[in-house]
Amino acid sequence: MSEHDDEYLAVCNVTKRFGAFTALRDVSFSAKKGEFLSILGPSGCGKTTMLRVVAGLERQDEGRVLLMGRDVSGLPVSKRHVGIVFQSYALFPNITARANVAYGLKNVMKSGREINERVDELLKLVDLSGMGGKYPGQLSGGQQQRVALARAMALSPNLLLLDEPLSALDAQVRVMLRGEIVALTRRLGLTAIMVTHDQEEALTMADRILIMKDGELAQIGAPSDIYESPASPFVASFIGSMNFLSGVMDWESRTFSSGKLAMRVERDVKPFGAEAVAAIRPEDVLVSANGETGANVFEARVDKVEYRGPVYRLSLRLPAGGGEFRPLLAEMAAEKARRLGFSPASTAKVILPPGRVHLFAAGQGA
Amino acid sequence: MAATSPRAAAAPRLAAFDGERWLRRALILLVSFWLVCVVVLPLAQLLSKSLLNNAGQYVGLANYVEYFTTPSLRNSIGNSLFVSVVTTLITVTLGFTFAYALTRTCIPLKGVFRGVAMMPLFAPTLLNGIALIYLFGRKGLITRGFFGAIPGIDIGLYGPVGIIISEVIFTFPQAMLILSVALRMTDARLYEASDSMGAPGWRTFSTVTIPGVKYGLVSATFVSFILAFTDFGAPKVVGGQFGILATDIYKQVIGQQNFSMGAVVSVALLAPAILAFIVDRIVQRKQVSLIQAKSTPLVPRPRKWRDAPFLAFCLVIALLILGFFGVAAYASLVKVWPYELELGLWHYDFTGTGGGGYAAFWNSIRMSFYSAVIGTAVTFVSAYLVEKTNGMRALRQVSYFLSIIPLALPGLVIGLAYIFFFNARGWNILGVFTPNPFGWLYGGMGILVLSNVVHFYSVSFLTGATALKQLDKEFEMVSESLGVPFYVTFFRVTVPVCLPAILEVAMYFFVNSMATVSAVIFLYSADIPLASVAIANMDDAGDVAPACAMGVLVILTNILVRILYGALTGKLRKKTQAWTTR
Ligand SMILES: Nc1ncnc2c1ncn2[C@@H]1O[C@H](COP(=O)(O)OP(=O)(O)OP(=O)(O)O)[C@@H](O)[C@H]1O
Ligand SMILES: [Mg+2]
Repeated sequence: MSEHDDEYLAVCNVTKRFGAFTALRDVSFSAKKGEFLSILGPSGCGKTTMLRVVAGLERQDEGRVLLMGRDVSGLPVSKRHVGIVFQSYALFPNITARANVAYGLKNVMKSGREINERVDELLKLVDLSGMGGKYPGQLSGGQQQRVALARAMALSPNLLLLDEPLSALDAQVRVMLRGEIVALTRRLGLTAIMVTHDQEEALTMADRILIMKDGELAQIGAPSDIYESPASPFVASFIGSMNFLSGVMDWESRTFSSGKLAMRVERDVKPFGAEAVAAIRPEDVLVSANGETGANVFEARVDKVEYRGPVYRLSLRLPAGGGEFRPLLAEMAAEKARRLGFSPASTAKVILPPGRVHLFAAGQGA
Repeated sequence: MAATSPRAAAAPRLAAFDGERWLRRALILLVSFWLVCVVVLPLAQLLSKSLLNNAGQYVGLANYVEYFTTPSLRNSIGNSLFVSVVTTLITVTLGFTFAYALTRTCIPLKGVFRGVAMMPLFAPTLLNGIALIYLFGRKGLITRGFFGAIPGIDIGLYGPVGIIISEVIFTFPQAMLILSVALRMTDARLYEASDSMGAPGWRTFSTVTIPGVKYGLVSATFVSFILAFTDFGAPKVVGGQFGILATDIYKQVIGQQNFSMGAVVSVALLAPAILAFIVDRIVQRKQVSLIQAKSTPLVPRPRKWRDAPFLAFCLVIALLILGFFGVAAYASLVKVWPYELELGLWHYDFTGTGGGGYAAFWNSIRMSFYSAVIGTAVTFVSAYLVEKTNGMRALRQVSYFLSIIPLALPGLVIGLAYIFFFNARGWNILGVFTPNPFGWLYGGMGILVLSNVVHFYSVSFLTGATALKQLDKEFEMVSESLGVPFYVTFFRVTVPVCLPAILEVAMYFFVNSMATVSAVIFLYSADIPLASVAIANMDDAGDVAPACAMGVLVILTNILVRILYGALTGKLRKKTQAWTTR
């Protein structure tokens, strides 16, 4: 398996079935040492199952899991050196935070002093020094999550696995812990995989993101890659928002047309058939009051102006000839929107920069 | 700090063999095996006995034919059905009203009422019968008009009347408890909706209250029915010439040594109980899917015109129960009822009476203690294995099913099945004679404890399972991922957190083992007399007052245990609060 030699963790062609239902279908990915991966996808797509297979809590039906080049498929969780943080924290309620952190240490450390030192070190690591004597029920949600984190790291795991670790916390604590978790794994050089529902969490924390859909891997890549070059309409609409236009592509002239609406597309795309879907992110749509000329400039009607704090979102209609219209969303900085002063039923000039228009083969589904 | 990994870096590839998983698997298998040995095989032995004659030859359905052609036996089916149906109607009506008063009105003294209503749970049903004799028997308090103070009335106690009154007292607390739970679970929002639509009270009652407790009503009905249908103690004392199935079994087996016919009557007793059990299970399963996680509890508001009659009702019921057991206590202290009303402890001496006296009493305590310890351990561990094991679904479902079967087994049936099974010398399995490996249990303390453990298995199992369900299902995985064996986590976390439920189960086992007579009356041996059996035997011999005294001792013991339990859980609650208060 030479291609996995330099990979810290490698998941190869893993398939997992529950009875007749296939929860994971032929999933492969890998992680380098110290990398922070995030698994993102709609509910029920198999994120937790993927994590459990890596952890060894669930045994895959096909495929292999390799840790440092060694096949661990047959090893139970206790032999894989993974630290796991569960969504519910799963702290033992009847013992103190200290005892929770020390829970797994008793097996590997003989002297009480050694254990005590290690627990102190761990509590300090998660910024809970002095809180060790409290019971989980006496700690706040964020503190409980840190205890769970310290417990998962007690045995210096090879791999830290987190299943929606922040979803039970309120927004502010969540943002703070995001930074702390990333800083911690960086500092310790820990490889981590985190399942999340929250795309912002994935975008800000992860080195690379795995997007899953119906048990399959839809795309894997750095946050910016995934955002900038989504591999499918599904990924495009799952991360951020996206306008879609179905129509026909003329590869010769690199012109896409939908009804009478025609635009140039300058992105590098490997040509496919004529049936195509063009896509552009709302923030890539340039809007001005008048005066623009050049490629991909259209006159649009403003349907709705929506205030969203730092940005405004405009719902527009592009005339496609024959009395037909194509809906289009555009986003712009609040300052600019105020300056231009759009109101419903006014008209606007819209530019779809040829370099920002994505193309997908039709029928890939959104 | 990540530099040194405390655990060995390289594990051999062969480690696919995971010791702990195998241990769990083996334990679950053991649970199923144990249930097969103590439930399925004895029942099979009982069924097969009903197809043999007393000489042990196969006679097909001949015993059943004889049974149904003998009017005195056949009539008992109708009699049993009659008293149980009437009992059920009365109990469910009273129980519902009482539970409604406790949960939906603002009457005072709810705790006292609840406590008093639970009293019959602590009494052997034999004592219900005996107390009735002192009230309505030939020399009874009411029959003689309070020792001649007022004109008396004779209600014709011996027969259906006596049985029904005893069974109502016996089944009342159980029905009341089930209905209280059901009434408490209803969602307040439904009532608010009904109120906001301006529906009158009776409409709300018939469209919201009754449908809301539908399943509770069904359950209370079946439980009351099964209990009344299979009870043996009270009919034994006040049944008179009125034959019912439970007393028939006893007469056939103990009186006539006709074991085959005993087995046939057992089947007749078992069939409706199993039927009721199955229907109840189906209904219960439906209910689970109906309960909403986020319902708002209903807080009753005071309303004078409604609360006053409910208070009166509860007072009457509570006074009746207190009076009932008060008369038993009083009668046990009276020198010669009803002629010499001097009070003293004559009847608590037990010398010169059959039954075993204080030896029997202490034996009962010993037996109940063992049953509580062993029964609690076995049921909780099996509930843990069934609830908290990953995979092995089929085996877990089988274990679960076998664990709730005892719910449908009358004590007498367990007792008789155990005689057949544990007393058998061995079996011909495929032509090879296999000696009975469990025979040594017969005739000792072992079989008495075993019969109690099985008799009260299901409720305990379900109590444990419910408590375990409330624990985070990820505890096991955390422990596994930290390399801590599951049995360590079981003792360090699971047991301490579930301790209140465990103590409740232990108390349940103790109290019921003290009071029960039906299973053990077939299984005790002369050198291990038991209190509850002594009550039956002394009553048989005409020593009603000492029998009554023994019954009072059993109740007092049980109430003491209950108080102890209350104190212990009180302390525990304080400790649990230490886990959760800031
Ligand atoms: N033990 C199991 N038995 C049967 N089906 C299962 C089991 N575990 C998971 N599944 C199914 O596999 C699919 C994927 O489940 P999984 O828990 O991995 O989803 P998820 O992506 O984590 O979803 P969520 O975001 O809601 O947590 C679901 O359809 C689920 O019903
Ligand atoms: Mg999940």
